[in-house]
Amino acid sequence: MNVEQISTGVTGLDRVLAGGYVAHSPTLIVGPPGCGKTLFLLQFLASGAHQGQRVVCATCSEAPERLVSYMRALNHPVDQWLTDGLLTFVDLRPIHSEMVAGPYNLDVVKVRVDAALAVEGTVPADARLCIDDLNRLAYAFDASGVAYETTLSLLKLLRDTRATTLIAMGDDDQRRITPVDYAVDAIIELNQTVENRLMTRTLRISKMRGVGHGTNMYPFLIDGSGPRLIPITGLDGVYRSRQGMVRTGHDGLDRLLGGGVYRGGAVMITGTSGTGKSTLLGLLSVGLCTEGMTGIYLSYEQDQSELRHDLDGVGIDVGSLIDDNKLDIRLIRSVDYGLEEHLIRITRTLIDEKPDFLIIDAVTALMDLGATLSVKGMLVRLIDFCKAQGTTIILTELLTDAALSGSTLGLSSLLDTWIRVELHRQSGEYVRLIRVLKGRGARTSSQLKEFHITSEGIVIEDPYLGAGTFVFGTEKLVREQQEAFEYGELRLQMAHLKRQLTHVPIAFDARVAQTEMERDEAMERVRADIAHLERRIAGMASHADQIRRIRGGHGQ
Amino acid sequence: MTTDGRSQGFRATLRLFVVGRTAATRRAVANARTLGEVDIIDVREHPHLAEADRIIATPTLIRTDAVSVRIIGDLSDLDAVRAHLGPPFSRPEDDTPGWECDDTTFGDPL
Repeated sequence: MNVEQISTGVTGLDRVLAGGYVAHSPTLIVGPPGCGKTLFLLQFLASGAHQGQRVVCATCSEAPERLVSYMRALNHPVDQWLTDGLLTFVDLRPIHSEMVAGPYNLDVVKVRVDAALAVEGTVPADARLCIDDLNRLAYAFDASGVAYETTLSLLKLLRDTRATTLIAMGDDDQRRITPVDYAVDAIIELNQTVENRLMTRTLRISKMRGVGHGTNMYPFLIDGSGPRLIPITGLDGVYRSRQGMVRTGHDGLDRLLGGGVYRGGAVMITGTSGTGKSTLLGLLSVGLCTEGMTGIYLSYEQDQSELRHDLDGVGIDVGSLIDDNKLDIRLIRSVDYGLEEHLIRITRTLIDEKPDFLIIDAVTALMDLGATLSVKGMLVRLIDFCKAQGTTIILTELLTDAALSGSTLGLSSLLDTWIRVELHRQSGEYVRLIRVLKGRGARTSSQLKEFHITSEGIVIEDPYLGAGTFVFGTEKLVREQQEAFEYGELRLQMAHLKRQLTHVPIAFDARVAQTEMERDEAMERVRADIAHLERRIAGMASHADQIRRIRGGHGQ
Repeated sequence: MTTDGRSQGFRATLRLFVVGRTAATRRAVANARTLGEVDIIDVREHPHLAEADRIIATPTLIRTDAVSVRIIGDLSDLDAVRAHLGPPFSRPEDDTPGWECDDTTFGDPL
């Protein structure tokens, strides 16, 4: 596929087109009125003029002055370009008093366009041409609607200019001219749909010969910088740009997270209402800003003063961060825009303001704007975009009470850190619990922790872990007191036993001493008896000797 | 850069824009000349004039005076063309020679 392509000048479109418009060839942009065709043309011209290329805008519908004012509004130095002769308008607007008397042809259109494109007689290879909108010209002489022959002959003529050409064509279905599809190599369809009373503009490449372009419907937005698209996951692969960890500034939380959150990572905090998600966000904001980062906090729930006040009440001072321009809290109402427009506006903010971290509280607010799958798709792209930008993104998901069991968005594979906060009910009270469901590549704590929101901030502590169950709150307190009592008892017993341990040998030693004494006495007595008996035996033996000697020395 | 035809020697009330010398061009030139003095302009040589008068098809006959009339085609239905041009062209004026045109574009007679 050796197709030379030219950048479109529209953010995100080059990626979808796998490079840009096909060079030296016409690309058709079709779509209903008001969907932004003209802006695609103007941006293409402007990007060429910015590079010093010859660009020609042939207009069949709007006055050149109108188009100039559009370009001015897009902040292009259009007056300079006109002065320098870089940008030329060819006014192809039909004049309505025209009467047709006999055969004619439209070769003059090419003659005029070529004359506008030419520099000293020849059309430069990098010249760009835009025609807006070709149908008006084709129908100028044939309002009844069989103008495709005229359109085709115009296309054929324009193809011969060899300039990279963008042709806008109004396309209301009745007038859709199929033969035109075959006459050009590339067709981009623009559309606008209204869903839930919100407008979304989409773009689709219906044909692009020789180029491996994207095939989906790509949403786009039109704002003060013209149209822009958001790249879709899969075209560029998933970015990974975690750049080490940044501490959250809260020891307990850091321990829980295995050190902190990743720079450029994605953090999700899920929990039901009132679990302390926003408080955690306040804590993270302070922590990250203290580490030198700047952030934007998009809230779908509270405005800056409310949030500031609420966080102040729990000892989290975001006010000074706001005053130092480190943190910007913005209230967005989800219903103000369509889902895609939210996405594009957010990415726009990231591109223009380059915050180090982005907080969205809570993404669940977007669920009103589309099906779960659409919202998920949008968040996938947002997270991808943040990763590509190196922006740390922190999202919250508000779980309904009915969904206590889990997240409805299921973004786990994209998250680096997933924190779950919940209310645990027991013995008529609720306690807040926090745990890390996921901490990619970090030695996180797998333990459920109890956390309290106090006027001095968040306190994270270990729950009671006894008898195989977790216990929290007041019940924990009772159990702990009970335990303390039992513990005391056992300590006493232990001391007693330890004392015994020393007493036992002493007692036995005493007994041993006693026995030894008795033993010695007993032996002494035996010895005394033996001695006594020996004396008696000896006395009796000498007595017998005397008798033998007396009896004449015989016998034993 | 707007170019006024008068500064380039085109002074007639009628102006016929053509591209090249096709059969249709010849017919149009011949028919136009029956209407009176007419400047024949080949837009290939004077694209700026076509630009100034916003010509989008050829042949196109226009009135350069205060009356704005534009007629596209080879002008084969001369009666309709005259009617559309309005006075003074709407009535045939036999004594007005329409042939002595200031034709700088087409040197040789067609």
